[in-house]
Amino acid sequence: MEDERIIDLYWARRENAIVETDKKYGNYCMSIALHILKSPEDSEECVNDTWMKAWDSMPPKRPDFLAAFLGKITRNLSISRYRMSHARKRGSGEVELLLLELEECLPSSKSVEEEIEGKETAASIDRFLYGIDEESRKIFVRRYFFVDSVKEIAARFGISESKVKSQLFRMRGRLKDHLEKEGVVL
Amino acid sequence: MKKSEKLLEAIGQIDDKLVAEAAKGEITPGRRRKKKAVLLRWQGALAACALLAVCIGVFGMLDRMGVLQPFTGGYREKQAEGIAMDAAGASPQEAAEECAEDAAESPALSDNPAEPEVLSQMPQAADESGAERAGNDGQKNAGPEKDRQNDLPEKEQSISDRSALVEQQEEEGQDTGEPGQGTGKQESCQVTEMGFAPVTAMLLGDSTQSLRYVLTNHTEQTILLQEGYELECMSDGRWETVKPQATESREPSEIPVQKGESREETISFHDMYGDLASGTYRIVKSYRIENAPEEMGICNTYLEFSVSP
Repeated sequence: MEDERIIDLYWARRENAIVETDKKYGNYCMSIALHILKSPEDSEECVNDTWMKAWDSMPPKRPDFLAAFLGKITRNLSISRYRMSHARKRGSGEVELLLLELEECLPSSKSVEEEIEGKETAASIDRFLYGIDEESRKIFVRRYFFVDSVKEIAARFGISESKVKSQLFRMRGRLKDHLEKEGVVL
Repeated sequence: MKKSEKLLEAIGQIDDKLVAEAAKGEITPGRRRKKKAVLLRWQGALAACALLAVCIGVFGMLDRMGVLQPFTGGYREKQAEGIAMDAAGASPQEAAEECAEDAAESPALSDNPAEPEVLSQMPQAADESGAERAGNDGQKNAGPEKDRQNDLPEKEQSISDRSALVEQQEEEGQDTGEPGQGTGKQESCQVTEMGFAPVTAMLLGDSTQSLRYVLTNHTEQTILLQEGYELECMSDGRWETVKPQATESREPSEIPVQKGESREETISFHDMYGDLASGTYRIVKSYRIENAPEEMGICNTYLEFSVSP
């Protein structure tokens, strides 16, 4: 089913919207979650959470790129879950874990200032990525958004791992210069 | 939150278009073009190699057909003569003596002992080399050529298809490369032998003291025929130069023979060589292509005959 039709189902509040989304983007979202969490159970939970969040977001949102929209949700949920599990492993106590869990209940865990800063940083990264060549851009996004391993990226683009590493190294340096130039302070 | 975590989160908010582009994960058209370009570069190199191989093949074929002989024969002649000098060993005088001895042992070739018998007028390829003269191929050329002559009207002896001759020789096991014949170096001359003869000699008449023949220029250029000649004798399967008893005092000159033209000559070998002992001989006539590069050198044509006891 085409993305437009799936989004229409969400807007129509039809429950089979989730079924169709899972059919089309289940593996894709699972892959993102697995790259971050390395646990099939946690990843599956994350993917299910993604469908729920998508159900909550549409409407009012009508994403132009459904795959990117769902990918972002899965990624952010997976990172949150990763933090939670690591906090537990670190043994920093139940308090931190509780705080992380309670963050989910809040409308936004970030301050307005942080939110704006985050958006500015993202916009600056967008400008940086649009300023580099397509291959480098894809490699960057595959690595730092989809959390692909160097080996997977090399296989995907048909280049050597060393080339991927060197490209990522150069891009990190260029991104640092770019952020400094734009006055982005993290 | 660490800076890196903040950055990781910021990356999570990048433009959907960028995410969608990377999500497809296809090899970019640009990269495909690059791969194609690499492929094309290899294809180009392979095509160049193939072309080179074809050129070498065509050149070899033309060389075998003799088309290139007017341009390459002289050079080979020079090379082969250098080899022949090493191979020959014996002096002309010794060669003549050996020749006489051999002839005495050999059976009569003619019913009339007083008359020199023409085995064949051997209009050999011009690039037949000095090495061949020093080698043992004279005999092998003589046999098949004689057969050919019998089939040709009016003793026409121009060899237009030397390759057939060589094939015939090979069938008869007369390959000069056969072991035990001391002809290892002659293999370098085999290629030239397969071409047609650009200049041919045809025997018109003979006596005990002279030979009358006609030389025909089959090349597309004018040839400069050198006055004078050399006499060679077959000895132990090799052509050995016969040392003249008297030498000509005049300067050798060159006689132009236009393309397609013939020139009749008479050689009185008795004046220079005295009475020839019985045996197989050949006259070596040298010429060069007019205006040809110097490296082409001198080419030879041969006229073979025998003297019976």
